[in-house]
Amino acid sequence: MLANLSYRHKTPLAMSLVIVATAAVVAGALVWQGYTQAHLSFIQHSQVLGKTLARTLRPALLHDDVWQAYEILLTPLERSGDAGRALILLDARGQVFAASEPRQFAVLDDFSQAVGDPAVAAMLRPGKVQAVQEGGDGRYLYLRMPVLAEDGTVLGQLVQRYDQSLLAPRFFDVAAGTLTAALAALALLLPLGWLAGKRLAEPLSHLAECLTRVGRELPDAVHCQFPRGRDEIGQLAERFQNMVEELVAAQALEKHLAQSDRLAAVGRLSAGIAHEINNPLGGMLNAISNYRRRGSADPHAEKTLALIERGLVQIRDTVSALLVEAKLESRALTPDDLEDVRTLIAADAQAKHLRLDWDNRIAEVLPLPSVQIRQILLNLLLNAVRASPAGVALSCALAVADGRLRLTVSNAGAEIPERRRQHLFEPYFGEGEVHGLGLWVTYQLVEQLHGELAVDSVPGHTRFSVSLPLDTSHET
Amino acid sequence: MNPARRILLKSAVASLGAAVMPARAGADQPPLLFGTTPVILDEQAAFLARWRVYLETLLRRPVRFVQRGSYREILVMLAGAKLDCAWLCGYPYVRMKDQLDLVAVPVYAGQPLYRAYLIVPAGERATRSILDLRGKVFAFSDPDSNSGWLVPQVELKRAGEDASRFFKKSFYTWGHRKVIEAVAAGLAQGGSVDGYIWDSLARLHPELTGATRVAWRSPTYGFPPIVARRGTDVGETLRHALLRMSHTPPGRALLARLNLDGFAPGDATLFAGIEANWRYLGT
Repeated sequence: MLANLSYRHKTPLAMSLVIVATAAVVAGALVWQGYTQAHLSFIQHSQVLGKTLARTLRPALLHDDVWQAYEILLTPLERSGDAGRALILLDARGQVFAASEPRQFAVLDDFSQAVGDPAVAAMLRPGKVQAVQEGGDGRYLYLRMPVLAEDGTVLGQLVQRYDQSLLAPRFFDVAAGTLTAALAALALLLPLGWLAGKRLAEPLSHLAECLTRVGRELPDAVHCQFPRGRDEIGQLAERFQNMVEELVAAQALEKHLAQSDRLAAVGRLSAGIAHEINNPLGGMLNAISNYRRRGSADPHAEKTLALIERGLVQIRDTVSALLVEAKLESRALTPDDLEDVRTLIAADAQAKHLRLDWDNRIAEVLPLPSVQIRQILLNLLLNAVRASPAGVALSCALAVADGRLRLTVSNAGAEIPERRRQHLFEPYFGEGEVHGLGLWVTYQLVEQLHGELAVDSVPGHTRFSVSLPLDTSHET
Repeated sequence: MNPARRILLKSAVASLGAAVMPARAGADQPPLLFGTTPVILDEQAAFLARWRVYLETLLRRPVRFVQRGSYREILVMLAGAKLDCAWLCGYPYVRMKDQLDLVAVPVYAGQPLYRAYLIVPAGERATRSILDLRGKVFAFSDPDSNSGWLVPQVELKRAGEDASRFFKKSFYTWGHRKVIEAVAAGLAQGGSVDGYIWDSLARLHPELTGATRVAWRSPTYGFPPIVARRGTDVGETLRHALLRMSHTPPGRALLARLNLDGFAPGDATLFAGIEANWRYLGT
């Protein structure tokens, strides 16, 4: 039951319980202390009264004046007028001389017998000091005060008997006061405690809520904000964020790997097909060549052969475009190679009234195969020219950083659709274009050079970035 | 003279008529010293103040009431010429007859007579006479009181009892009202009081007298008289003023407060019964 309750409720509840318990304990202690204090002050007050009365009663005892003693005994009672208080004056023999309750303690009665309480009887043994004694049944409190003559002789004793229930109103006064104060404190503290508890539990329940979203939703859709801090929840939140980030990265990697696998498969397939086609194709082209060398006068046959030869050449071109030859012998890349590409593309750009922002920061020879790099750059630039609307600018940045050559080509064309982007680097045929092998070839070349090819595309801006390691020792 | 007193004076003068001169005229005379004893309910300061104004108006001289805790003190003051007159019990009057002049005797229930009551707590039904109270605690009002001491003493002696040993304990309360209180509270199991006081209290404080029962009523005796020290000249004018009280509305109002009908000139023979008791006890 309690285990199923949310900390959002459990923490404020626990906080409130602690506050209530504290208030109860403090109030209880205060009431107890107040009651004890009241009890003590009551006894002290009674002792002062007893002392005064004992002195006043002395002549009455000396002169055997019962009525005077009775009137004196009544004095403190008449004013307060409360029941439960009795004043009894005993003579030297312990017999009642006069009492404020004469019907209960008749004149000359033996007081000990009238009370019938051994504890009280023991207290009454003649003595010159005062004494306080609770009755055996706990109902009454007895105070004894000796009445002394001038020379210190014990003339008699004044006994005050108080019903302990007289203290009840004082107890209730103290209790009511304390209770009021406690309730006021609770009224103030409970909402504060509840609020504090809620605030404490809030990040935890937020974290729990976020955790439940992981798995149900995509990792990159789970956005959770947590207060910063090094407390336990702060650490948990940090771990959680790390976990989500790792999940996002893992998902991206998975996606990338799937794409690479696919591209690699397509590459192997196309290479296999290309080789299978190239062998008979070479044979067929050789056959046509041999036939011509022997000389054939038949113009009709010559026309047919030329048709076949053009078709075969087109097949060979297409196939060779599919079959990216990485192992081509090539010299190292010079800055001039790159400037050549600029010259090559300038004409195309000019035709479409495009401005080419060329930023070439390469001034030395780089240990990279020049042919492949030129083809990569040219393919990207041709694509950019094709994708750009007329009259805008396209840019090309070339630089070396961190041991890598970086080529960046940007254009202001339309965004590449998501559907197309998933298969961007695959061989592409269709929709009227001559062929869509430019990016396929570029990708294959970059892969063979152990580089990376990335694309960012938003409406009005598409950027292809190539990063190639300069250390090519492993390649050859 | 304070304003309240002046208003009282005015009303008294208006009711008495033009024949009476204002009390102011005699303000320079020495005051009449009037002793009172617990034969009346002397705890009524307001009543005494009004009665004083009334008497001052009639006597044309200041009056000062003197109250003391016991009869004895008043008697001593009277004998020592420290008082001019006093309201005494018949018992001390008969003892000091040669030093005192009888001024007036109050008229109670149509007669200048009263009785002594033997009272016991209300719940106690057995007692019919003081002889039933053997071994009990008994309250006397004052050793100089007829009803509160002399009557029970005589009753016991007539029965052949020794009053000093008859009760387990006895004590004086120095007032009739206090005897009633002592018996009502249960401090004493019996007491002897002035019947007039008991009856008057029964009208004013029925809850107090209701806690007691009158177990026995004595024969009638002369009501406690107002006496003057022999040798003073106040007797005549004071008697005149007292006798007049029942004839004027303010006087009657004061008498009503005292639960009395009026004052009569009285006669020493009224107190023969008390004197006989005194002499019987003395033998």
